[in-house]
Amino acid sequence: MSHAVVLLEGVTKHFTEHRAVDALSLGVREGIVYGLLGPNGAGKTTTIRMIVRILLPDAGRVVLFGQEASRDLSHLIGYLPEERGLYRKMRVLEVLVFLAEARGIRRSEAEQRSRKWLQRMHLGDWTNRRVEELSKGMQQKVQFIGTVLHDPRLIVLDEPFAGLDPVNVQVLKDTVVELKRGGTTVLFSTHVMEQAEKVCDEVCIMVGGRKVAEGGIADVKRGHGGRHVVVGFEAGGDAVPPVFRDRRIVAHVDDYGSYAEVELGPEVQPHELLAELVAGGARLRRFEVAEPTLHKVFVDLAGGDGGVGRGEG
Amino acid sequence: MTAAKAWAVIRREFVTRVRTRWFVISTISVPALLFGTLVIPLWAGGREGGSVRRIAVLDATRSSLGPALERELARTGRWVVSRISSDEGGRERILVDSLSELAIGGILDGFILVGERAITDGAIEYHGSNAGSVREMRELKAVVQQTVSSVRLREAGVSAVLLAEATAEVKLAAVALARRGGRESSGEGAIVLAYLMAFTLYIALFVYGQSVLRSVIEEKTTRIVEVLASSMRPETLMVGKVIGVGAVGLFQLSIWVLCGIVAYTLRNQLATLLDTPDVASLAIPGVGLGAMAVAVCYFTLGFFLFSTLYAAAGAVVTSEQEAQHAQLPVTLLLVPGILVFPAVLDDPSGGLGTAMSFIPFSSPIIMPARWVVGVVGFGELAWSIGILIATTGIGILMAARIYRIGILMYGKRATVGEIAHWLITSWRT
Repeated sequence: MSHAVVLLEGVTKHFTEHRAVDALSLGVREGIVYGLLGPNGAGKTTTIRMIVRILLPDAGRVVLFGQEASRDLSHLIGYLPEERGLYRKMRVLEVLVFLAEARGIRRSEAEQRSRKWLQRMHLGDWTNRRVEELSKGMQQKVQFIGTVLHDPRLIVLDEPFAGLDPVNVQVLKDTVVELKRGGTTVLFSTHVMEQAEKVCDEVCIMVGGRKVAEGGIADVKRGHGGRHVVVGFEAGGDAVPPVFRDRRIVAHVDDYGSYAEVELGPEVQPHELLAELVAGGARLRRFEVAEPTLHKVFVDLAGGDGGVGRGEG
Repeated sequence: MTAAKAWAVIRREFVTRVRTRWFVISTISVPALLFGTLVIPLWAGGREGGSVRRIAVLDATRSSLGPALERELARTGRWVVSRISSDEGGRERILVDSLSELAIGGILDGFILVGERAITDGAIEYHGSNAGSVREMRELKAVVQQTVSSVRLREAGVSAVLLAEATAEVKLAAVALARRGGRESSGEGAIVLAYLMAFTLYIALFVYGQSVLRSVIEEKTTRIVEVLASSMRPETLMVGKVIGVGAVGLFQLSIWVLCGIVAYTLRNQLATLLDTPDVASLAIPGVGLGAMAVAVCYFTLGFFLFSTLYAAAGAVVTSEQEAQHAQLPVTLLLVPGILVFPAVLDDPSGGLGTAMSFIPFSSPIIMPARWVVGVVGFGELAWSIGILIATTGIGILMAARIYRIGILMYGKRATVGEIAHWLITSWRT
């Protein structure tokens, strides 16, 4: 296992009336794309803010690049907050130069890099225009350039896909993959599982400030897989196979009429369900032990009270 | 590293402001406006005052007062006078009526009624369309007063020569003495300068304080502040911002002072240009180096005090609309200084002025003006500045604490209780 770029050990953060992050530990290896997943209010943004050092944990440690996190490392980190904006009255190039300067890049260097990135993102003609003259999609690109301009080794993105138009989602995804190939570590939060499933190498699923699953996508799924069976049956006979109502065998079912996604009860093996279905007279067309989608895993973990404290991945 | 980042913040605040149209317009329009308010009334007044009034003197006496009035009024060149004698009883009423009609019709501007008891009781009336003009009535009264006095003295047997000697014009020149020693400019010039300074400082503190507030809100609502706070301490950001905006204020003030110096140096040419014979009446104040140093010192300290408070106010709100409420406490600290200023100037060395010079929220406005008028000693100045420095220091510390927590709070405006809690709990960075 390669060197951990981000390491959280028992990190806890309280706000006045609630515990936003509770004894969270996680590690992000160098050069991977890491997804911080969870529903709203799971503590993703608070976690990210502690990683980029604008909040300090009440307890626990945040270690970046093998050393205690501090603002002195800020030139190694690119950060894109949620619900972002830019200085509306400033010119595009000036904003980018300023953002790079704020990360400790020299002015002349910052200008050179800004121009290069603007060309690359097809914004070369807009270099000296005011930010407010740009379309929202173009502003989003400029914000992203501002995040990566200083060539950081770690990029932290808070809900990067929120509010992007489809073209920019593609641009952002391509750039993230390209940066990863170049050795940059990317950590981002999202509650949109489809993107996470496609882009992430590893994920951490948070619910109520705690980690409920962590690891490679395949591992996380496996931890929650094998328990899921897709059943196809011919409609017409019994409306619902009676076994679906047997809580000892079936923990949960998503019934679509002639197709159902079944989650097996604890300790139940798939063949036991099959036996019950056959015994019940169901006319099966399909029986498949399925790997759940990340979305399914996420909803299982996050949905309802049962989400918290369920087995870790 | 920190210095370079702070410099980037200062530079951004300065450059983006100085380059705006607003900056150029305000820099030009303020001296233009001040110049206008100084010169235009004088110029217009000179023109209007130059117009000659046609009046009649309705003389019901047999004394020499009627002819004397006619002569003295005509001599000023301000009045064209015709005297009508009404020594026959009963004609007076008819004459008053017809003169009134002439005045209403605009053929005459007015007429003076010199009655029988004019010399004994001083009972003289003026009827005229311009009787509402305070200045013209003052001028008229001065001439009438002097003429009546002369006639009274003549009738009492005083010789014409003695009379001329006794009533020769007196010139009272007001020279203000500075308490700290040395003579300042003329009293009137100093008061004009004091007014200019107080209002300019007030406006500058208010406008640039607000500018800091808006800048904080912009960074907060766009979340740029998060990006910046992840790479520099929030205090660095706040102080950089305040220095950057303050530099714009100082830059603008120095342009204005420069305009003042140029106007003062060229005051003779200006007077000729404006066709105003009386240079002193232009009242363009000369700005001494000492006065400038005091003004710059108070602006800088006052600006740091107020703008950090405005920054803290900006940090606790989540939108421009909420800012209207949050900034009110800060503005309420700033306004009393300018509200009491006219009263202070009436009696610059009085208790009110002295007290307001020690209160750090009003001293930046009051003190430079009192210094210019010359009633402040070095000891008082040192105390006032000392208190202001101490308050500014405490203010920056408190504001920084509110700022660094406030800028990361979203959703709702912080309550007073929460802000107090932020101030109390120490929060390491």
